[in-house]
Amino acid sequence: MSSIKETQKNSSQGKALWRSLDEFADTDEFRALVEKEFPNHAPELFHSTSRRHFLKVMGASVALAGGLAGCRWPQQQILPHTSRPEGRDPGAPVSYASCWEQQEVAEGVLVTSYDGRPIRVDGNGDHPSHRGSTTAQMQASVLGMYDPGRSSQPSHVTADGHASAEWLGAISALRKAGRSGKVAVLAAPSSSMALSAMRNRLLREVADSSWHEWAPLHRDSERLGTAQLFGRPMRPVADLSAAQVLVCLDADPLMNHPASLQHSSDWAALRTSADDDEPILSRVWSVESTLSVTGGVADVRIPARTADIPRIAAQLAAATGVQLPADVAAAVASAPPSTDDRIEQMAADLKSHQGSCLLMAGDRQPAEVHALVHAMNVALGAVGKTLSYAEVAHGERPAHIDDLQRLADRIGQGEVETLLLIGVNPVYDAPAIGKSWKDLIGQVPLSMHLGLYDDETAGVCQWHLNQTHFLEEWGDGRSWDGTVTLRQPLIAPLYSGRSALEVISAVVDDEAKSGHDIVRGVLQPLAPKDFESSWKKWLHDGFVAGTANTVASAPDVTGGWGPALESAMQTVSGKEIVFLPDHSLFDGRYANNGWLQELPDPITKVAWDNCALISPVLGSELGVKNGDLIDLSVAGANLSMPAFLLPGQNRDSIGVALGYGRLISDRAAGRLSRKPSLYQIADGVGFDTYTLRDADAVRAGYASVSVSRGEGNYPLATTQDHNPVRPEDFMGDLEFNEEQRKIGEFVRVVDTGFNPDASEVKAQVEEAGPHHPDLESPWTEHKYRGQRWAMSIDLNVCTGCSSCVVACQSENNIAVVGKDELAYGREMHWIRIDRYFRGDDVENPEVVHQPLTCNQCENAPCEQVCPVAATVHNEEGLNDMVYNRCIGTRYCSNNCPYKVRRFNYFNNTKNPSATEQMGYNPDVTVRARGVMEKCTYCVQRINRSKIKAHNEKRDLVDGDVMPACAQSCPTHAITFGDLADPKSQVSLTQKSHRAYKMLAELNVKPRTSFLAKLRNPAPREEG
Amino acid sequence: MIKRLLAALSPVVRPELTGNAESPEVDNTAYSPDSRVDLITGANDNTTITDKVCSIVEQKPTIGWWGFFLLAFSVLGLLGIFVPFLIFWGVGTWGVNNPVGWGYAIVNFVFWVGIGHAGTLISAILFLFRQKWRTSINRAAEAMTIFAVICAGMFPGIHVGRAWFAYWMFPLPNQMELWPNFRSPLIWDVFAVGTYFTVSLLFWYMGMIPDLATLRDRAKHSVRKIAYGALSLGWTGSNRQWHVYERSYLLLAALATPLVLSVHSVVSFDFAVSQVPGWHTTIFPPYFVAGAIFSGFAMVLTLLVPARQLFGLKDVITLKHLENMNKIIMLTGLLVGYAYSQEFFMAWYGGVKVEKFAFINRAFGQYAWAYWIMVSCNVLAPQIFWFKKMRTNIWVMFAVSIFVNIGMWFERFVITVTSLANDYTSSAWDYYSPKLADVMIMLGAFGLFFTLFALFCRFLPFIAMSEVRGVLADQAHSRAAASARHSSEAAADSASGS
Repeated sequence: MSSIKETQKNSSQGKALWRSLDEFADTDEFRALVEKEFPNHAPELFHSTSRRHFLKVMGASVALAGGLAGCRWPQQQILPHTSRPEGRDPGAPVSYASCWEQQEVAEGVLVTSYDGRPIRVDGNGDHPSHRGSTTAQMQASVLGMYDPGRSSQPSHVTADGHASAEWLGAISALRKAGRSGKVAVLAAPSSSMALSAMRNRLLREVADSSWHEWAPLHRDSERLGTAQLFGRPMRPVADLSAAQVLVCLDADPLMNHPASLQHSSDWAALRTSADDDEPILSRVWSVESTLSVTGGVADVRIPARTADIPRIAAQLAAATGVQLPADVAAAVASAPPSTDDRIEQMAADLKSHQGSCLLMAGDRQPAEVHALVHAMNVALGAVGKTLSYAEVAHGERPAHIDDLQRLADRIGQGEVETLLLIGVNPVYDAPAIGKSWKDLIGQVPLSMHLGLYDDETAGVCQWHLNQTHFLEEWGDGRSWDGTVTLRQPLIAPLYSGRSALEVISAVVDDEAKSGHDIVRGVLQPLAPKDFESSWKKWLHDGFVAGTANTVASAPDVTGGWGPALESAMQTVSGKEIVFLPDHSLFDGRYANNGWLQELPDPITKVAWDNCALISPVLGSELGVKNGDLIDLSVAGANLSMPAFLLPGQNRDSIGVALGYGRLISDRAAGRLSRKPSLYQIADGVGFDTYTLRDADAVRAGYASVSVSRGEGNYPLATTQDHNPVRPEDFMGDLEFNEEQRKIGEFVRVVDTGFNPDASEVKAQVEEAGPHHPDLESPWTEHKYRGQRWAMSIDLNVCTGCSSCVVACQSENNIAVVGKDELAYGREMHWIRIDRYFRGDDVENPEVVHQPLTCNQCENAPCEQVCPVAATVHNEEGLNDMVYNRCIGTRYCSNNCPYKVRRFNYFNNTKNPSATEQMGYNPDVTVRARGVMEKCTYCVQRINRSKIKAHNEKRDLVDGDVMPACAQSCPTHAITFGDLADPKSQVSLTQKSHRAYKMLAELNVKPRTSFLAKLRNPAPREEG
Repeated sequence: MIKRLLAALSPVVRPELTGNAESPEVDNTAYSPDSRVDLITGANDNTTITDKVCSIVEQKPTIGWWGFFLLAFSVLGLLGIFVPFLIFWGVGTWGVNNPVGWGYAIVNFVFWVGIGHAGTLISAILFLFRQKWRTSINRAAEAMTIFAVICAGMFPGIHVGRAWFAYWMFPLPNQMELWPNFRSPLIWDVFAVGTYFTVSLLFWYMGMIPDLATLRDRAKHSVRKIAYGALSLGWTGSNRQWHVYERSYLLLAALATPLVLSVHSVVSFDFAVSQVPGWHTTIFPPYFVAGAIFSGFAMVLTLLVPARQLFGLKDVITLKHLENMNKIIMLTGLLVGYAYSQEFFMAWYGGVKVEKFAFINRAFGQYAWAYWIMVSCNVLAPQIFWFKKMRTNIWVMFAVSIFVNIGMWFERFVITVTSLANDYTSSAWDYYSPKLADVMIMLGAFGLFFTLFALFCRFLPFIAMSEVRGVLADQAHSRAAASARHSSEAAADSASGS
């Protein structure tokens, strides 16, 4: 028989086989190993006396030699992640720049991501157009991405009604449509250059195609008006920091404007120059029918019907006596002389502030008013100082409503085989053009809808394709001043959706391109050489520097629109209904967003519903109180809505917000039979006012309405006083009671002029509060070593926009409680904005806003009464809420004079959906039922900054820590920092002559100071 | 007809077994300077007292008792339904919100604790003042106290957001090394109410031992013998045991006396120590104590006026006893009314705007309806007792006792809810209205109270027999002394006359 060695060599497996360790020890390989390991000892080992001894000694080597591999388990290599790629630390947040777009204007945002999950949207402070703040809608967009009610897959209706579908099928249908031609696209307007490029390709390459744009809230008047005035459409880029006199004609530049963040920041910067050594306080005039956010902070407000504003504009032009083209001047002269001396004063202010004044007109005003306003701006020397103009892309487009008409005509003439709807919802928000949009779309052989939600329009189309959210897609946009802003995805599409760019590419390209490639392709010309490093830089920054396109000088003014202006001034008397964008839901696109639905309206404080805003005078005429239904009738359409008596509303005008009455789960075509999901929270909320808005109302912004008392009462959920004014109060003497007068202590307002005197202001601020002696402490007070966190809130610049409320909700995992619980008074917002009306005139009161959070009182009344010590004070002055110790007696809330504590009455976070859980901020506990919670001055941010500073071996500097509210505030009203640092912003603001503390006489020693509001009212004639 | 209905429903309707017929109402309220009226009227001696009281326990319960007990028990069942609902779903089942974090639960808590004070006052304070008339009512009143404190103690346990951690309010050593926050009035409540319950229970039980022994001695069934035997702790009635008993009784009375003043003062600190306008006043401790005694006596009346009728105890709990209680009700009612006026005066005099507003708001704001119910029931209703005829009228005093209970409940409601609903920051003002669970749990507490009281009537001696016998003895002595005096005077007269 062959030797063992031979057998081993001949082994078919290629590995040496041996039957015992003895055998193995005898092999050459093993000997070689031993010699390698023990070079000096090998000989004696192999010549030792007994094999047993040998094996005992060499046992380990035998095992390790790998010769036992024949009986080893299969080896798998794992690699520790010791050298990680940059930005992949688990649990460490990473920020990426992206771009958010609304109303065709992009804003740069910085999105924070944890472990690949974007959880926060903040402003991109580096972006040249915008200062790092956000609107409430931008803050809430992250919830929009995680919205479990979003459509999660394409669906397709066939003859037998079957519904679910795959993207591959959709893409082939799209390509087929592209090849056959007669494609019409109805898309949301966008400033995206990539989308514009794809649009051009589609129009070129697909036969008989057309592209239409629709947005229910349009900005056509400004475009068309400036086109009338300058010969081509221009975009006014305002600089409110130089406008000492600002006149807003039905305009809301601080809230409802694509550049609201820039306007807010600039206006606030000028407002705070009232604290300078040479103080200047601006004066804002507002002429509008319904209180807007800008109207609320205006120094002088004139409630006027929307329909009357063209006449008022003409009267103003006449009073200022500016140079105008001849036909325009004639039209202006034909306006009846004004009986309101405030218009005279407005004109006087404008004349005395030439070069530092600005007029702005709102979207609902006709184009001629915009033309007149800009003619006045040019004549008053605003250009180059408070105003510059930028070129408008695709300026030759028709008005959106005309574009819709064009599409309806094409459909009617059978010229459309495929209708592709991208990010629009005409069945819900477009007026009927001849027929309803349901019928019009039904006429098209193939209709495909790309959208975030399976909404009203998706319900009537054959295909619904789920769109990516902006956080999931590649894209671009241009900001208000024209800066090219980039959008990069932070997460792969949650539901395998595709973006608009990719869907258009599927139509025109045989191989559908990715959004990434499309955007790169479009941006290539901006950096012809060295594109790769430019691209990286642009992605890092979020924008392309140097692409702003404003010009400082205005084109020449032309006339020819005088007669149009004159006819715009002709109005009928009677009541008008004005269609307003909702402060939270905008045009209804955010209706399924719980944070925005629960956000109380800045002026009415109504949440979860819209209502008909009427003047208290009209309310008394109709005999209604808040919530009573009134019947509105516009051109044959009827709607019954709850009334809300809003002080400051013009008595012949009724304001209604758009965006409610959605039916996201409607299956009108009988497509998907699934029951309405509990995630379609928009359904049944509010009243669909689009039903009253016909094409004329879209053009005009308002319509004639007849109103009558309806039947019944609809409960409205408000977070604040349920009746801001009782109808019986204002007939006759308006005597606000003692407690209402006390409001002047909480929100101290000082009426002053263009140049306020600091010592006078200081005296008045102190006078507004209760007199009390210096409160001495009977015991030795705690000495704070280390940081002393504090906050100051400048009421002079708070507009009430409520961005801080949503920012706090996003940062701190605050639950949404729903309408019923909110009506009970159980909303969970840690920061709230109290809105008070001031003054005796219920038809034109002043509005004051006061954001209120936990004041982290040094002598906290809540800490003393908690029986289980669940709320305690820490060494840096914060009042710590210990959730796991709280048993929920609610004594702390009772004892809090500010009532800023929030109790979890139910389990508000029971069974969150998987995507909502992804959206929670992992740094903040999610609270269970039965515990109290409140603002913590974003202690998690304080701690993260301290850790970061410690790792970088440095001290914290002022500005390192910014709570979410302070970071998001567009006017930078909230300052946060360390009182122990005498040079920190907060130390300086707390020593301001305008500073005071709320309810300080209770000796609670709050850490938050408020800075009094200054108002610059126009001097009235005595008598 | 009504008499027959009442007779049919009466828990003890077979007075023939006890050998005394339904005794007529004897008016022993007359005041005479040279002689004391009989506290125990009728031809009563030790045996009849014993028989009267023990027969209530020994006879089979009537339909009346069963009806009352089952009704109370079914109302108690509401607790069994709604409390688990509350614990399972959360405090949101109630109507409390922000800013009104305390609603019916705390109102009921204070209401029941207040009621308990009357029993302790009767048992302890009147004992120290040697008011012999307390002996007919102290057992039932102290039982009322115990049951009231049980009802009260339930509410803080269930009104917290996480009831399963309510024990953290007790200073039990734990692995977190955390004591409760002793600065909080809610912890003081834990100690005060806990002490109150313990002392009251001990005092009541200890006082009952001789009577339980009586029941043991008379018991015919072995279960009763064993039960009462165990409860009476081997009482033999020896001289030494009586001596020890009397000493202990005095000591416990002395211990319980300060509790009458301190417990509700501490409960009032829940409000007074906070800084809520309308709560933060130093008048609260005496005001609450007066109110507690006021409502407690009213509840005693509510219980005893029907009980004396239905158990045939009109000669033991006589009109004099009831009149004395009515006088105390009037006194404390006047104190409470005075306290209301002082609150208003101080709010005006002190000049603190928010305090002035708080009181005007109470009277004329969104809860004005509750305020005026409170004032008419608490201030106006007892004024009728100025008239002796009214003080001694059974129906009037029963009606007034009901009004006073309603009024005192509304007083706690007005204090708790109006101050919270409209305090410093006007933007936070809101309205509290109860939800179904609030009302059901409140009713359930009444069910618990009456169930326990029904069981007490059934199984335990309703009247302190041993103490009443002492009063009888005194009565007999003073009668004998008086008759001796009369006869000696008569003899002197006749001697001087002849």
